This record gives sequence, structure tokens and C-alpha cells, in this order.
Amino acid sequence: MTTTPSPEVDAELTRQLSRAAPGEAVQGVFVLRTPPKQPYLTAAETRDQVHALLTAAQKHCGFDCEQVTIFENLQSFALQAPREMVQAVLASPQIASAMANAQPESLQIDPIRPSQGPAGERRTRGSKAAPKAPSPKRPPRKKSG
Amino acid sequence: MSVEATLEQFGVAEVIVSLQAVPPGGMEGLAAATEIKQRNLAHYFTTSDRATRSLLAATSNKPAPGPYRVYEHLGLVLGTVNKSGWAGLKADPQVADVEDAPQFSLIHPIRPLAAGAVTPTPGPTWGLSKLRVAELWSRGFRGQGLRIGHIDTGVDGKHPAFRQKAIGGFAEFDMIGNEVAQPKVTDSGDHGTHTAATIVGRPVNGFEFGVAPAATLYSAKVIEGGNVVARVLGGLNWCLGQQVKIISISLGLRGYTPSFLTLIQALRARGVLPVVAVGNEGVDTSRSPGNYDNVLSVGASDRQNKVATYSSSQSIKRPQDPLVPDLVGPGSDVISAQPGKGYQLLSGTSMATPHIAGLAALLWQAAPAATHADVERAILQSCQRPPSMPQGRANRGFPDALEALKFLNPSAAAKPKPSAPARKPVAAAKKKAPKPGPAKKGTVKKAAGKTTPAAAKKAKAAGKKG
Repeated sequence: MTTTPSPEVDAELTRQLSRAAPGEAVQGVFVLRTPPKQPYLTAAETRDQVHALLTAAQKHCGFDCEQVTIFENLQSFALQAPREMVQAVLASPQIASAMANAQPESLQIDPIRPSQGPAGERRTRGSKAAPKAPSPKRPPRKKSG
Repeated sequence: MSVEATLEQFGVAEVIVSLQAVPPGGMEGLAAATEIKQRNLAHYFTTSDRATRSLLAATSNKPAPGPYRVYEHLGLVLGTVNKSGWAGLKADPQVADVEDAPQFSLIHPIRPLAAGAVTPTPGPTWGLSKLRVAELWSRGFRGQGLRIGHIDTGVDGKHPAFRQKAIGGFAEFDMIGNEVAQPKVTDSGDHGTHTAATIVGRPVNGFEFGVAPAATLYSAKVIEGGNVVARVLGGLNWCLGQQVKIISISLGLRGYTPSFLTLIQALRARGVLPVVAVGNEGVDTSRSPGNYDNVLSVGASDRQNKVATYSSSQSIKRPQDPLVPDLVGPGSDVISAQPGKGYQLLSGTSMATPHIAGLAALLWQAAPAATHADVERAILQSCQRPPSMPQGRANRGFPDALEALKFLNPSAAAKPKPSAPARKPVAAAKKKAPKPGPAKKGTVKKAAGKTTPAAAKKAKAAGKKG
């Protein structure tokens, strides 16, 4: 007999669920498990599995989901539903992983902005050695103590 | 901001109250005690517009919650206080601690003091030259017919870099991942326009900055300084529907979270190569999914062959391919398109990633029957790691377009196409023509000479990535 491993649930979704009041909506994104001997779930399989597990979860907890978006090419879906419904979905054996839709920090990897103006690039492009910009004069060091 | 400062500014503050002393009986006892104590603490809390807004953020169309909430199993109370409530809680013997409640916060870009715009001069960027992209262009491989996915802040479709149908499709997603009807091809910031042009930007007035200037981009606008995962999934899902072969992903969550693993497996199972930035937080850091072993993880280097100090690198606890990034690409002082008509310099692994995505497109055009694993392996095997790049920071090092082509399709690498564009790529003109001879032998010899034993081992392991 094989047991289905628990889904990977990110700490933020766990935190949001613990903070939500009864009946309060939580948003999560869920990834379905890939069946053995199959590279991925097809779009039709994804749709069918999502509908089936949401129906089962609704019956189990007595709550309806508020919004669902199925990512049929990614065997995943996003859900906004009362806390109890989200918890019921997490208990489904088809769920491989889940995470909070709203993360505590930005997903964007912010670029490092140039500290100097654009002239640096212009000067250096096409030249063997870029002429060094004059270094700003430093104020004399104060003696400490 | 401290509770005191928040109270000073807004008159109220959201706090977390830890209750004193866990009674005997474990969690049940604690829950009971909390229930009792919160009744006695209720008078400290108050309601406010700010608190209501905060609590409603994740509960659209729900009635306003009360002024406090009890977490009976944690022995905590979350609520809003005014100055007298704050003072009362701090003095109450039932209370062990009162702290400012954590809030969602976005990381905003640091804007330069000086204007970021630059006026480029004709010729290729340093990144294109260093990758030896012109060697592939001169053989007729400019990314024709390749569809590349782009998950970012959007793209300014009116920029001259994107003329000649560079943008094949554009989509925008709402907060729950639904596609927005009739989106405008715009950038919510400047990040996406910059990365998109590095992938497919058409040359403008002789200035060459797009690695695959004949490829077609499918751009999903999923981020506005944002933190919403469903938008990213919506974008990835849409890209798959557009039949892309490569997806350039310059975003990620700090640290290692396995939540995207199955998604990335689904991408690869569908024959797509995910090229992902590792992060800009320096040594011993990384972001997910850029730190997975099933993506092509990209760090950043500068034109002096050094790994950029900001470029993330980390050893992840796993048996296969523990070190990230897999390689480094041109990331520092990258000049590319800026929303409007101009150009700007930006640095980051976000800038290195589209270089590698574009390179993958060129290679795929040269070997249309190749799999994503073949293309990835060729890029990894072409890498060189000069002494200035420690392995722990650069892993396999910096790729070479021509060497990668030799690994992937030796016959295509051996024959520069006579019908190549009349315009002479600057970098190609400066370099020696490829030596004639048995391509396969040369390839093997070159590969053996350039690849360190560790890199060869990693490259071998990379074959298992698919």
C-alpha cells in the first residue's frame, strides 16, 4: 500500500490560513500531482481534476469557492475561497504543492541602477580603455578621538 | 515603523499581543486561557479605517472584521490600538509582549540620481560581443521562427526595438490569474521593456542589443512591483498556449521554496526550456525558481569577466546539481530599450537571463530537432570559467555561442552561410573566421580543452535535467 505524500505548502499560505477568521476568504495557488508514468496532465485532465476536487471539497466543508482560475497548461489553478474550503482542497491527495497567492515580498528581481550617469557607457563603448572619470575630491579626514 | 511612530502618525496601530504564561494542559489549556483573557483585553482595542483596509486586503467583499482577532492555539491576539490601548496592553500583567504587526511590503526599485537614459553608439553591446553572438548571426541564425516567452512587467510595444513584428503576442493578467481583455502593449515599469529588447530587440541605427533579433516574443505582463503568484502562473500558462520553446523568467521568490517545482517539471515535460534569473542578493542567496535544478539558472557577470557582486550564488542541499547559478551571462551595465524611444543601462541577473534565453533561440534555430535538454547541454558545455570567476560564484562560467553551436550542430558551425546579411557585424569582423576542418573532431578537442573536470561532470549531470 502506498501513501500519498503531503503537499508542499509554503509558509505564507499556512500563515494566512492561521490568521483567517472562520469563513474568511484566502487566496492560494495549487499545483496538481503528476500521475506516475505520465509526463504531465493534459489540459482536459487538469480541468476535470480541478472540478472534481473542488466539488468534493465543497461537499466536505459546506463552503463554496468565490473565484477559480484554471491554468490548464500548467496543471494548476488559483482559488479564492473561505478558509475552510482552502483547507479542504489542501487535504486532497491530488495536490502536489500550494502557496499563498499574495506573497509577503515582491517577485520582481529589481535591477541594480547605475550610480553614475549615462556617460560611462557612452565613453567606454568601442574604446579600448575607458577614460577614467575624475574622482571627486574627498574632504580631508578628520582625526578621531 | 515602530508602534510609537505609527501611533504618532495615524493615531492607531496594528499590534500582535502575546499572552502571558502557558497554563498546564498544553494547547487545550492555552486555547481556553486565551479565550478567557481576550475578554479582559477587549477594551484595549479599537476600530479604524486603516485597520479595516488592512484586514480586508485579502477578503474582498467581506464585512468588516472586528477590532481584534484571537488565535487561540497560538496564544496571540491581533488587533488595532490607539495610544491609550497601547499603554494599557504594555502595562497589563496578562500580556507577555506587544509588537507591531507585520505588513506586506513591496520592494521598489532604487531610482538613479542621474537620468538613466543613454545614447548608444552603433555596433553590438558588450554582452553580445562577449557571447560571440555574431558568429551565429553570420551563419544565418538570428532566431527566425523561434517563439520565446517573456514573463515580466510588460513591454513598450511602440519602441523601435520591437518593430518588424518582434512582439508576436501580449497578455496581461488580473490578481487571480485571469487574462485581461484587450490589453495595451505597455510596460508597468521599465524592467520588461529592457529584458524583452535584450532577447528580440531589432537593431536601431546600427546599434545591436537583441541577441535573437529575428525571433518573436510572447510577453506576459504579470508584475507591477508585484507579489501575486497567480499572475505569474497565468503568464506561464498563456506562454505555453502560444507554443513557445523558451521562457525567460527574470523573477522569483527569495530563498528556496519548492512550490514551483512541479510547475517547472510541467514546462519541461512540454518541451520548454525555462531560463531563470538566480537573484541579485549576492553570495549565499538565491531565489526560486532560479535555484531549481530543472531550470537553466543564470547569474550575472561584468565586462571584466568577473561575477557581479550582487549576483546570487548558493549551494542547495540536493544530490544533483547543487550549485546555482548554472552559469553567468552579461548582467552588469547592460544597455537596452527603455519605455519611450530611448535606452538605458541596468544591471542584474534579470539582464543576464534574457541574453541566455536569446542564445538558446539562436541555437534552436540551428538545430530545430534538438530538445530543450540538448540546447541546455550545449550552452553549459560551451562555458568557460576564467580564473577571475570562482566556481562557487560562476559555476560553469560564461557561455560561448559558437562553441555551443559546435556541440549542438557541428556542421552548421563549420559553414558560415554565404548569403549572410550584407551588414557586417562588428564583432564578427574583428574575429578570425572559423577554421575549416573536421568539425566533430575540433568540437571534441575544443570541448575537452575548455571544460574543467567539475564543469564536465556538471554538464553531464545537466543531461538529466530534462
